[in-house]
Amino acid sequence: MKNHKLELVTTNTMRHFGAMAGIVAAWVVGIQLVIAILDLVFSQDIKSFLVSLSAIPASLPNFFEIVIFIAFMFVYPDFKWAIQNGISRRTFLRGRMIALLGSVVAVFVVNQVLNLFDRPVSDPMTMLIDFSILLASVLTAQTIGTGFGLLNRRGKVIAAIGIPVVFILLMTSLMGIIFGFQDQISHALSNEAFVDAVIKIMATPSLPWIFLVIYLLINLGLTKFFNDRMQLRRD
Amino acid sequence: MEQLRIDHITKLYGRRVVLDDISFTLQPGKIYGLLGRNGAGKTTLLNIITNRIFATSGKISLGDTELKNDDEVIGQFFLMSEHTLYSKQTKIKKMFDLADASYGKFDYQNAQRQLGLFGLQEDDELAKLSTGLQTIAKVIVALNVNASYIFLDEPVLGLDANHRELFYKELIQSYQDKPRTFILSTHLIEEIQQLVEHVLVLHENKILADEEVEAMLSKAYAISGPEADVDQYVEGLNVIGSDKMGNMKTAYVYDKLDDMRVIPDRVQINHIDLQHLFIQLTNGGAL
Repeated sequence: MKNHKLELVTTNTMRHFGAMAGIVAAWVVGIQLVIAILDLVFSQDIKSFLVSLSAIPASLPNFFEIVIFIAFMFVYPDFKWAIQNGISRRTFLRGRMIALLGSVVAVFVVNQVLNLFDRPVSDPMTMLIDFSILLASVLTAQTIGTGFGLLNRRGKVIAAIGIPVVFILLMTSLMGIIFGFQDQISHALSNEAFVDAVIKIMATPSLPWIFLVIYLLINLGLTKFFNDRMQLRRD
Repeated sequence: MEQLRIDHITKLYGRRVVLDDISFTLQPGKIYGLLGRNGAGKTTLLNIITNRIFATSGKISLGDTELKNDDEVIGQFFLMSEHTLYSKQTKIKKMFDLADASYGKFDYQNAQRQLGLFGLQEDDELAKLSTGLQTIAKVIVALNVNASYIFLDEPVLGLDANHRELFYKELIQSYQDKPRTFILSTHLIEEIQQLVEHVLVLHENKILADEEVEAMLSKAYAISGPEADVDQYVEGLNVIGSDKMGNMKTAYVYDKLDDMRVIPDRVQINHIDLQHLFIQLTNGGAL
């Protein structure tokens, strides 16, 4: 029964995402098709019409990335039907993570195929980078969604306004600190040995991957932390 | 089936105490009534038991296993609540399918029969139904789900008299076909008196009563007559309330009546029903 519940969460989550992606794709293709047909009617230029048609597939990847980001941001509605049906928070999170990975892979593969209408196949490193960015983005969306799932309406409004304000204040303070240490920073930057060492570290090929892994682990940790504290809200 | 133990559950919302050190045990294969006035904490208690919200302190165990993140334990409970936790577009058939996928062995045949009885279709969208019909749809899921403990929070909300009667019959039938533990939380105490075997009364954040219905009613009396005679008779008894009309008085007593006690000529002794007992107990009467 535990596997059935895990399967239920995974398939339902992926089905929701699939439905959203399908609807968005239908609208995007439909609108572009209508515009192309109208253009054909007025311009009578078949070549231009065919070019417009061939550009449609390549326009979809961006939309799919937005859809998957949004789809995994809405966690609380799924949490409600899960607890209604006796699914534990642990199984719920596991199911969603499997669905997230599956959906990211699906979007990545589809996007790579659709991008072939626009450009040649990317090299493996570029593909890996694209996949990593997509995975990190969607996981971030899930973390944000799970965090917001803990908040009631008022809390959400406070967070939605407060977090950007706090971020701006932090950035402003950071800028202030940097300007305050202007002389020390200039002195450090004039030290060749120091600059060489920094460049050496920054140029390490594995450094971005290390940051990525740390970022993913932080997101996973936060998602689990928020998920384990999610409750049925009164609002 | 194992017994369900609720141990020292306390729930605070900020500084407000909603449940204060609640402890009781639910036995397998019984029908319980969970009674309490508005705001007593019944729904909060049910939400805690079914892991929808967390208690501030205390624990819940099924047999020896504590309810935490355990699918096996949580999968023994089903709560039908006032709040609809499905998405707006959910059809009744989808509710059945989700219950079947989660709990297994959902009784589709019986559920279909009950849909017909109540005049519903499986393609009906839950959000488009009236309050009463939404309740019925949720009740049908609860009566056919494969769980050992079925919690019904306001199962007759919005139901007309005919549907309420039908629901009680279906509940009894379901209980007879497959004995499980049902816990009914409702304000219509008069109607469920014949159904429930054991009653839990929540009052002022605590359990006021945790007793078999028969035992409770066997010591619940209304003693009426001239005020002086009534006062003389009830002296030393646990009087939980009284009504006066002129010089006539009715005293509500929750106590065993001693056969040796002399009954004055003009004093009448009657049993009171569960609803009247509940009213008197929660109006400041003491046990």
